[in-house]
Amino acid sequence: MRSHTTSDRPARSDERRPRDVITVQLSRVVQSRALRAHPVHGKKSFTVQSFGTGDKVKLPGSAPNKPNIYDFGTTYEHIYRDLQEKDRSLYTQNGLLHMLDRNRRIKPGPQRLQECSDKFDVVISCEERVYDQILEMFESREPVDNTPVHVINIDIQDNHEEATIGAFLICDLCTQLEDSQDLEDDIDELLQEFESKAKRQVLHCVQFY
Amino acid sequence: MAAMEVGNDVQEQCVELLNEAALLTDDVKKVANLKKVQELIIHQDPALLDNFLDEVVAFQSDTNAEVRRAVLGFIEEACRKDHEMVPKVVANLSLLLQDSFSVAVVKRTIQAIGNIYKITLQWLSQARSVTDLMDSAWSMLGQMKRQIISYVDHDNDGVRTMAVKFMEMVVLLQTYSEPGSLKRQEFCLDGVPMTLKIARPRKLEEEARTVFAEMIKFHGSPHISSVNLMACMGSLTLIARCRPSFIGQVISALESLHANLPPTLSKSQVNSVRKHMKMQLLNLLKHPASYDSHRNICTLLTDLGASQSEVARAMPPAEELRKRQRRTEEPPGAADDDTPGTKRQKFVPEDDDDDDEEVPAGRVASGARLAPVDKMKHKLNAIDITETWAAERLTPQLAADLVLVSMQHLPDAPPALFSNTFTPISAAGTRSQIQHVARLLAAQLTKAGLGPGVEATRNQGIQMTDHDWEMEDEEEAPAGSRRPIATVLSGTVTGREAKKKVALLPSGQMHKKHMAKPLRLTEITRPLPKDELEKSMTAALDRLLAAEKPARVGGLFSVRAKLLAMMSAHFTPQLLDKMLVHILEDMRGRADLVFSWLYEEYCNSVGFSNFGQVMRSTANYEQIFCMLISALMVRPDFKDGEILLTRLFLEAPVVPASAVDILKGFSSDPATYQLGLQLFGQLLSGRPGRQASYVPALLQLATGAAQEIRDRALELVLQLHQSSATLATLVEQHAVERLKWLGEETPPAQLVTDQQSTVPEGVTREWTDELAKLCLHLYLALLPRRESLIHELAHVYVLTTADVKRTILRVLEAPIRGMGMESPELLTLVETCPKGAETLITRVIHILTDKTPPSVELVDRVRDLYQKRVSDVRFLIPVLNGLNKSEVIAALPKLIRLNPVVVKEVFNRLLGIHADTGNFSSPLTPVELLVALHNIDPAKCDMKTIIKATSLCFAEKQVYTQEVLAVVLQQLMEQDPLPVLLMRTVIQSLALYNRLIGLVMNILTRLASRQVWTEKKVWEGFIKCCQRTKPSSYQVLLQLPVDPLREVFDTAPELRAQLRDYVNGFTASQREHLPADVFELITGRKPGEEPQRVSPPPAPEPAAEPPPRLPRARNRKRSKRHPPSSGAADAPMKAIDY
Repeated sequence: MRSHTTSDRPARSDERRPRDVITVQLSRVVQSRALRAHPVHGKKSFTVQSFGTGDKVKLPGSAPNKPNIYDFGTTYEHIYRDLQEKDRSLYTQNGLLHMLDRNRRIKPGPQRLQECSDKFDVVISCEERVYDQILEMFESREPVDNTPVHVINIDIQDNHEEATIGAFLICDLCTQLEDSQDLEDDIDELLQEFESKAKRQVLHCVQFY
Repeated sequence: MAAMEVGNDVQEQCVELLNEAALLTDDVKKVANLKKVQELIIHQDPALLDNFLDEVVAFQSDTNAEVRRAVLGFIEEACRKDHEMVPKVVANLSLLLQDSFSVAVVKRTIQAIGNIYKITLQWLSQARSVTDLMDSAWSMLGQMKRQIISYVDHDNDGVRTMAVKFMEMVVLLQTYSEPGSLKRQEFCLDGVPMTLKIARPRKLEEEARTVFAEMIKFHGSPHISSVNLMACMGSLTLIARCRPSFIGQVISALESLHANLPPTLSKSQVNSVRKHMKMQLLNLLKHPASYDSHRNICTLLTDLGASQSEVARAMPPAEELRKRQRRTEEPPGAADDDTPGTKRQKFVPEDDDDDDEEVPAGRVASGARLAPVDKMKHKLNAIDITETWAAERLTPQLAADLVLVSMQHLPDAPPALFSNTFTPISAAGTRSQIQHVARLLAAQLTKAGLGPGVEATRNQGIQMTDHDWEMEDEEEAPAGSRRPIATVLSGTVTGREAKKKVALLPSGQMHKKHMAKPLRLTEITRPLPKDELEKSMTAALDRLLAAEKPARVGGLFSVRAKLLAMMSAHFTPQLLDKMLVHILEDMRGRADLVFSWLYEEYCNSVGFSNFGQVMRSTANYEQIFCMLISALMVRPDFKDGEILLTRLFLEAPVVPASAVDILKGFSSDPATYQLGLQLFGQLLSGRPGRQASYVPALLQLATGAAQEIRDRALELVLQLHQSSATLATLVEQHAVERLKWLGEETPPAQLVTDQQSTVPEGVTREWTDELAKLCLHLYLALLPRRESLIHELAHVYVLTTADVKRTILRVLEAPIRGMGMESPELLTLVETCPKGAETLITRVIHILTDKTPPSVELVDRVRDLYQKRVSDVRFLIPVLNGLNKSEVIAALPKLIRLNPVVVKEVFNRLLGIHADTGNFSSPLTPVELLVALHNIDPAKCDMKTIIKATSLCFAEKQVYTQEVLAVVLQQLMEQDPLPVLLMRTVIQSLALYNRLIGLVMNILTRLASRQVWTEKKVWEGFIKCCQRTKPSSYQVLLQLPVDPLREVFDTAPELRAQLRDYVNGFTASQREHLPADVFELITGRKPGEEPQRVSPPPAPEPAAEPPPRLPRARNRKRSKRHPPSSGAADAPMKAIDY
């Protein structure tokens, strides 16, 4: 699992809450990062959605050069069954099935950020490449009502251990952001605190809807 | 009919929802209800807008921010739907913009106003005629716009961000679209008719440029937050992409930012900003209009770490570039085609899509519009100008120099920013790299306001900043009646508008609820005018001062003191005076106030204060301290002042240098010097750390003219001198420096000015005793403590004038005595006596040996000096007692030739007169001395001097007692040959002590037997002695042979008769003992003849017998002249005087 160069971009979201709503854009691997963060978030008060940013949903296959590729719009259910058929033992062993099982109970299928019309307050990515893609997406759009959205990147490596730690980190950050009375004013400081606490570099940028 | 029903249905629903919402306490549901109403009205039945607008908008006074935001959403949508709504809601927007309770509402309001502003301009442009209502709405929006733009300096980060976005909107809205713009479906200046009076396109565009300049300024401000910076960067890029004429400025701004990233950013923020900038630049690069700046963009991108492939990917297709190039090479000559707004209107943005290849008529117009813009860009771009300038000069030599110069300023460790952003230079030395470096330098120079580019654009810059916010047209605001707009901040509408316009009241405010608004001081305050401020401060101070008693009673005394202290830190001179008077009224009671004040002032001066400077105080800590002490010092009633003054000096945080000066002045006043010096003393012990700072003042006092002050100050200086080695050095240096002044021919100006009172001006400066002493006091006081200083004196002494020398010798006694004979330094001085300082050394030795015998070391050194270098015998005098007998005797001839006073001194020393008898020891006993005097070789010293010397001995009767003289006489008599002065001494001794007669007879007898007549001088003395000692001497005379006796009679004829009488009284047997010739000589008859007369003495027969054997007739004549009976000591002296 650790060696996987997964490029599947799963996603997850909640309804926008009337107050500062925080949305998390998680990248890459379904199991290891984005959705891992999800259950933790779910127990808290803020709403979370997760998305992919790539063109396709890519999951590890039988060999590094043979990934399983699906279009966005495919349901988790479908993927689950497909993989079960292909090699049940392999995908059980590497935890993929378990992950998909969990995911299909959370939402129907992977979503693509670019196709989502909801507005978020915060977008969090777990990899710089994804962060770039998000920025690119926003840049290519025409801002309409100038609602600011904060894009934050926290690098989380693509393995179970890191993903678990990362999930807590993100949750921690989200809690702080949610608790803030005035996000715009506080975010700089919050992020710096977070950085020094988590000892991770954070990228941050403001974009507009 | 059905539609009506639907309408009613919706209406009912809305009424229900709104009623429910009004009663709901759950804010979330309230918001949901409003959202539903919005949905129903906007999307299902816009006709109801009019009915429900007031009801919905009434919720804007809800206490919940989310509800207010929902209202804003409704307003926005309503305006979008129906432009007629705008005038109804502008006043509400204005209220919401002031919302001081929730920043979120303000942000949302800005967002809404942005849209509504755009909508309104569109509405105005499309309306057939402009009504008063529209006019009012527009001008109110204009005010809000200005307010929002000013929010770019707001406290809240988010509000600033929104303000930036709003500015972006204004710029984009109020400029014309251009070819190559991003395709935006939006309304812009293209759609505004030239004829629109209340919003002239020209004015609008001008305003847009100003706003753009503001954005650039904000973008370059040094302490911008990272969020603001990125938002601003994004906005600028967007503007550049939509309005390519701004590209140049935007790229310069980005370059300048890249070269001067705000120092406040953290490491990761720097990363984010760089990443963002890279993204923006890539976006710009994609834009075909950026062709001209491609080089700069690519350089920047490379600096930001973009790879070649990334850059290449972002480059527009080569074909498009070529086209672009062609277009710029042959600029459209249709510059005259610049006017018509009509053409512009034809040129709707949609057309742009496929127009590129065809260059239609509209293109010409737009190209023409571009031309002046390009010109402007070049004129504006200071960086470009400076870049060219720098590139021309950037030779390897200069580059090396620059590197060397900046080496010094390199920090020890590379800052985070640098290590983060550094990319190795790959193309060093190439043309492009030089160009790049020049560019970077130019960015820095321009930022610092240097370089030719800045000069060139200065005028332009002034025009930009002097922009008038006034948006009214000339027609509407005729000359002379221009409406004054107080400030950008001001929201007041006055003058013409007030009377002419329809007053726009907020909708739904019939039943205004008063919301509790939190106080935001910075928002509602504005700096007072200066005079008013001062008036208020004065009044406040007066009240505070007057409130002393109430405050004390009420237990707020310390609070009052603190308040006053804090205020005082910002006082004007008048207020300071007031405060001072207050303090001086009751110095004891208000001392605490003084200290609070001082400490506050001190905190300000060293930057501890966290209290914002309301008004810069004109006085600083030092001035106030000095003011206080000066005021206290001149007070006549000194008692209280004295205590406070002492406390001030001892308890203030710091005693400034100028205060020490004042204290010095205070101390040099004879009336107050005691307190002043006492203060100095307390300072020395109470603030030992700062002792060094009091030294110069004390030294000056210690060398002053007034004695009491000087003495006290000297004590303090000596105390200092003891306390630390460094201070001691300082003091000594000062002392030596002053000492050296003595070596100059005339007193140095400094000394004279120090003592102006003693030396009137205009008088030629000359060394006086006073002046010389002034130079010496400190030195002499130090001398016993630091004996090595004595050598300095010796060197200086050589150079001084005679007057000064005298002074020095006179004042030297006490310190030298203090040092004592054992001082090794003094001994060294004697040993190394510089040429010319002999008198000084003599004096020193004199002082040392005045009361005590010289030590062996001293004697050795003096002897050495005497023998080797200075043969002045006076040197020896002080140490005479230390010399051995032979040395003294050898020196005697020289010694007695000196001034009689000195000779007396010499004898005193030798004889121990005045000396402490206990430890006195002389190399010569009195006897030896007198004998030695007698034995001086007349060749070395004339007789007269010796006689004088012996007389001195005789004068000391305590020493030369009878016994002593007896011994002397005996010793002399035994000498052979007899000393010349023997008989004189005998006579003298006899004159002093009659009882010596026996001894004298004895001597005479002995002399007679030693044929005394053979020694002429002694013989003369002998005769004299016989004359004096008659009748005892008759016996002696009778023992003389006849010839000498005859001589005696020749010299002293009276003796003959007396002797004859004497012999006549002899018995016959007695006579028999006399030789016959003697008898005959005496009596004139043969022995056996009876005397003719017995009782009367025989008449002298002087010439009866010629003295055939008498060698010297002259003697007789001479001796006749003198009366023989003289008992005075002088007579014999004269007799022997040759």
